[in-house]
Amino acid sequence: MKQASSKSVGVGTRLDRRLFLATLILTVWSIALSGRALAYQVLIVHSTDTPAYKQVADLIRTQLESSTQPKIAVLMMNTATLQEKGAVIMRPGTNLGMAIGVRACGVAAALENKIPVFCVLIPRSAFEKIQRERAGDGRVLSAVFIDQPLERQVELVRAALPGRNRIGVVFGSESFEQLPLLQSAIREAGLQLRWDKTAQSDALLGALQKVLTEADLLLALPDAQVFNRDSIQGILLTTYRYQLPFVGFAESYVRAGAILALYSTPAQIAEQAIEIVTRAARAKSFLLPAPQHPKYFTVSVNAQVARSLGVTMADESTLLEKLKATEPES
Amino acid sequence: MIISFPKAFDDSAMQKKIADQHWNLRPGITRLMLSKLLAIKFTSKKQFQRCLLVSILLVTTADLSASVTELDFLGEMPVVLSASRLRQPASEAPSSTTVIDRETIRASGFLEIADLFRLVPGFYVGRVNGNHPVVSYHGLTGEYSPRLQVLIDGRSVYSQLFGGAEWSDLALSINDIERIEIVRGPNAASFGSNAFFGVINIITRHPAEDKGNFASVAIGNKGLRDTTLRTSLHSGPLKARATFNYLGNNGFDDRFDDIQRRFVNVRGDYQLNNIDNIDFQFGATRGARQRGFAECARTFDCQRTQKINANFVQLRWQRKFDTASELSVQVFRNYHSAREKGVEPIAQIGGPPRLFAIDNPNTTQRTDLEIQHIFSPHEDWRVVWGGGARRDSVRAPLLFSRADSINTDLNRLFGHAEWRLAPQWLVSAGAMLEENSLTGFDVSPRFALHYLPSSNQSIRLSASRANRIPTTFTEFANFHFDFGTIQLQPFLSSGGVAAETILSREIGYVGNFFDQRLNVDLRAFHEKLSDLTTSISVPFPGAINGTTTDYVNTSHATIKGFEAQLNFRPDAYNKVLLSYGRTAVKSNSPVLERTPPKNTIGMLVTRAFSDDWSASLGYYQTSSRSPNETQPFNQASNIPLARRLDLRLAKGMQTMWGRGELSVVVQNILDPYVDYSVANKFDRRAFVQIQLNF
Repeated sequence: MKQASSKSVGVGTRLDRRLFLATLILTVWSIALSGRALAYQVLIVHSTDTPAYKQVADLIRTQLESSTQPKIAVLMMNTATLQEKGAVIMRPGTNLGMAIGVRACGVAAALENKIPVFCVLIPRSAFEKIQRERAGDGRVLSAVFIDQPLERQVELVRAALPGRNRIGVVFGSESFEQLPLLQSAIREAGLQLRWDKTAQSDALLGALQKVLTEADLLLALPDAQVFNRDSIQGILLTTYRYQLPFVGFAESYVRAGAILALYSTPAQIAEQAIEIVTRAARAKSFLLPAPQHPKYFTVSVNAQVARSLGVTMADESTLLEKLKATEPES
Repeated sequence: MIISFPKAFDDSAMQKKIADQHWNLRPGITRLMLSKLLAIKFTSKKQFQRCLLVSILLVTTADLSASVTELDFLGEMPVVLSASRLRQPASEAPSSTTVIDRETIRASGFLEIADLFRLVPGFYVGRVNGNHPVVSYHGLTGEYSPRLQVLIDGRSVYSQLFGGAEWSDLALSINDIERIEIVRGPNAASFGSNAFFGVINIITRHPAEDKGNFASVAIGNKGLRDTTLRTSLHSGPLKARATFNYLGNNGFDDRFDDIQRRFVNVRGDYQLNNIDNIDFQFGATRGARQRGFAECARTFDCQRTQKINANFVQLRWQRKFDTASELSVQVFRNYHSAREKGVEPIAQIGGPPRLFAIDNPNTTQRTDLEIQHIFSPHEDWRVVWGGGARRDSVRAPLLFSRADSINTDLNRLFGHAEWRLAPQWLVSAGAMLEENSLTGFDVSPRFALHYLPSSNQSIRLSASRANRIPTTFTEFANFHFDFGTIQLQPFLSSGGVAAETILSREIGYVGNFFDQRLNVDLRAFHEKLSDLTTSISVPFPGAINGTTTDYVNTSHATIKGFEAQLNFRPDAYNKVLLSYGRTAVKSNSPVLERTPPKNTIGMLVTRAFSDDWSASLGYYQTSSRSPNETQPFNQASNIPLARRLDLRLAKGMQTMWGRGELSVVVQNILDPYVDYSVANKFDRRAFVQIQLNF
């Protein structure tokens, strides 16, 4: 008995063992693979490696990756890497591309792989420009703008500076397209608009003076031609000379001398982006929401400037509550 | 055996290295140029991109119309409305402050800066001669007004030789003034000694607010010619302007007081980064002015021409952390040289007067360094503190009978704090510690308490002590003429002149009504002055007339008064500015008692019509006074009540080159009045002025 079946039994056992092992490995591998395949793949592209962008990108990535239901996998790179190696590095099966900043949005929207692209920290005008350029691509393109909706800005002016009914605005070539929207927002709030347009930087102070003689305050709308590091000195000094408050659109303006600013911090925009991506990851067939304004915002007040102008302003939290109360239910 | 995918994709470091090596092999033209320009070898794409971004940011001007990016929202902005630039609301200022702004300057029709002070309660502006104005407050003034500190953009223009400011020699155009803040009341705690009765703080327009070019020509009677030309430059972080001016004037009829003067003034601001900027200014004046009388045998004040050569340079570095805190370091140097040549007739026994040639050059230089820090340790607190060092150097061989320069050194330390201890209560306290080489150590404290019964009113109680250090002339005068057999000694100071002191107490009220359309500022004050510098006639056997003039501190005085200022702006077209001052001096010196005009009234009414027409009416009245002359024989003269009515009519227009304005000004429509001394009769002056921005 011992000598007759030893050879055949030995071969059969080794093959069986190998087969078992192979099946075991394959099963585990495929489970692992399918576990990966079940995760929602997001590609985050940021414009440069400067700390501001990396911070936002890291924040989004950490939040997304910590989500368990659904599971989200994040791949992050800057625009340079994407442009050079994008096609190679990008995994097939990437579900969504998120771009942080104007440059990243432009690069992501130009990718050959027609994944839906979602841009954040991008001004509305810049996004609409990219949208127009990529109109025929057949790609789903959406965004969370960095600029605030005009209605919210007008509401802030009404809440913070009551009695100042004439809002002064200086438009540049880029912001000029917002004139009709602004006019209707101001009219709805029961206020008046006093505006002028400037085409060149040396005509800026003239246009500004014309507006300031007829307005009760100056509201800044983002336009690099009008508001930039070099022009802000002349603008703030002149507005202050007229003893009028200047309402800015970024936190840095409050530090420079604006009495008030309404803006969304990168963290707040990131929060909104995370919500949208998480919702996208949950849904089976999902269309990105339409490009939208930021949902979360901050109000900053410069107490010294308010005191110098003799303006009694409610504090930041009160103004924030007032604004939130008038927001449409989302 | 399970490969962890995230780690594979996190191979960014390795990939970057490959990418960099790859990138390095094929430099593009931009990279080659930049690397040559900056003498850097780029080793990574990231480094190059950063460098490129910074270079682009440095080179970009506002004209490169870039599109808005997120950097416009997230990037940094320079602090513009900084702690020093934010004006304190009038209700919280420790003293009554009068502000003369650009609009008022324009509506007044004045061409000379000194005239503007006619609109300030309690101020007296007179003309010693056609080219020498004197601006004084609360009386006690002679030809020079040494008891007011005068600053231009933080630079003191007080002359240590005779005291006061040389208004005609300032390289400053009235068109470049943004506003003048006049602090009525002693403020040595903030502005140092010589801020005795008050401080005049002239602030020029920031170069960022100048655009394009400006030209102004005024032609009038009495030989008036006043031409100004200004050009500005904005290039990225640099904003600068240059102003040129020529003035010619024949002064009063029947007086030897013509002036011809030209100056240049340059001011620039360079924004180094978001928190640092450098402000620089320099100017130079050249001119000639006539002074003296034809009849001068006894007065030593013969007709002569004085040649003026003055210049200044000022540099200030400011670090503006935010709108509540700022650090600044300022250094400036003023140089003023006046040289007069003339002839002095000396009476001779048995013969016509002999003529002696007089050459009187004098040079004054002031070099000053000051550091100042403003900060707000808590939202209810505001603190300003700092220190400085100054050297005044005066050289006047004829006046002092010595060839070398006389130096006066002064070191100072100051601090000032404001505390809002309750919503309706504000306390402020400050002090200046000074040590100078003439009178030693001195402390000048100041204290104020504000009660704000409502948001538009405030009542103020304040007390302050200030001193005035003697001028170089009063301390070292040795004015000697040696004509051989004839010796004259008009002045000989025995030295040891002490500093004058003032202790001031006041109660003030500030209110604004009808939505800031009406502003009211009232002030009642009581000032106790001691050790006032007085000139006395003492025997001097060596002189042909047997006497000389010495300076001692034997006078004291009490000054009481009331000031009111009203600013009414019912709508955008009409404006009324009214100022009234009442001053009464009680002193052991009858001369001093008569020096201030009892009442001064200044009124300016402006009205803007349609079609760019505007008109303004100015009325100025000062009651009788007499000068505090160093020359004994002038003390008796009493100057009667002076009344003056000015009218200005202007039409703005849009020309093919830019915005312009044509105006006609008539000064003193009423009867001629005696201006400062009986020798000066101010009759009617009129001029036409054309201004153009292009």
